[in-house]
Amino acid sequence: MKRQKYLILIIIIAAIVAGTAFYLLNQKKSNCMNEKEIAFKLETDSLLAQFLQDEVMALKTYNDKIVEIKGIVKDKEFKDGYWFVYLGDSSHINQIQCKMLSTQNFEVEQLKINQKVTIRGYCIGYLLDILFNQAIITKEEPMKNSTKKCF
Amino acid sequence: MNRNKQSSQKRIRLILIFSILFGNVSNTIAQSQYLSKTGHISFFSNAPLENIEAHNHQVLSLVDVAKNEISVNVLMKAFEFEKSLMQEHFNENYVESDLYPKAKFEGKLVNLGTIDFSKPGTYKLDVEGVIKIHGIEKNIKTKVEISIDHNQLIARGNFRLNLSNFGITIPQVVFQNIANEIDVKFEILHNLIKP
Repeated sequence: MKRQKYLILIIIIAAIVAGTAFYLLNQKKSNCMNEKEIAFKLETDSLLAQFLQDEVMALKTYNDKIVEIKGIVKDKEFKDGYWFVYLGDSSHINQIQCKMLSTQNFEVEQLKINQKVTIRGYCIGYLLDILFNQAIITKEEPMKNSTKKCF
Repeated sequence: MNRNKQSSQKRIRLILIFSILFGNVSNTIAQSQYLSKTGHISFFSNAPLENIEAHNHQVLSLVDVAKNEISVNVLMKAFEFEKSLMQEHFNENYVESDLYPKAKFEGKLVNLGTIDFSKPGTYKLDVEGVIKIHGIEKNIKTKVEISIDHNQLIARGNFRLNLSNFGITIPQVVFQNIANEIDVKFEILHNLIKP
């Protein structure tokens, strides 16, 4: 009887371990960037300057980290089902390229060129531009000459 | 070593700055370069127990028509997988993205000069060059489909890569999950660099 109880207990533990392992191995990527901890908050100019000054050092600091970046929308484009938002200004060839999460499509569609915006995403490296992915908009400021009326 | 890794990127940057600064002076040079920062490269691993697919939509590519050259740069961390654990293993255990953050291809597009860029059309060309992944360089030759439409150049194609040729070893325990030979597909839409 006691042996039978132990056997049942072992089977239950084995089932829990197997279930947990299966869940962890098959866990899909979380899109909840909002819930993730931010490592750095800074302005576009500051991040660009750091990468241009010392790319290796900047990569050590920012690579693979969640960074919240504030800047001006220089351009945006829709490609292969994803929006790409470029932060920077027209005086510099380098910019920050943010590959937005597809859950952000509506928000990005509303963005205007030259609008001030705050974007959060993973800094994944430097390839002519500083690249961000899994990015989301956390704050957008209205255009100064916006015709949007408040009721 | 870092200098070597950055040299091709610096070259692209210099070409771009040159194109912008001297575009009006040397119209021929400026009109012969096409750039993409959002090219798409994907790979597919077909193994008995599992199929693995990853996509990178942030590929940097420059086609220089006058020189018949193509240069493609890829950040390994820009490959996105469906499952987070797969992505983690890919970066940490296989391609070692922290040590080798970039992959690149530099090659020649054979007979690119024969294409009439003033008319829309699709052409099949041979491309050959050197591919560098995981710090190891290998010669590669494949076919590429080039489509010209107005100010755009689209390069499409696929090829197979043997991971062990690039020093990427698959442990015995996951042999049934990850194939040693993977299929790579690319579709890169380039825009003409305007003077």
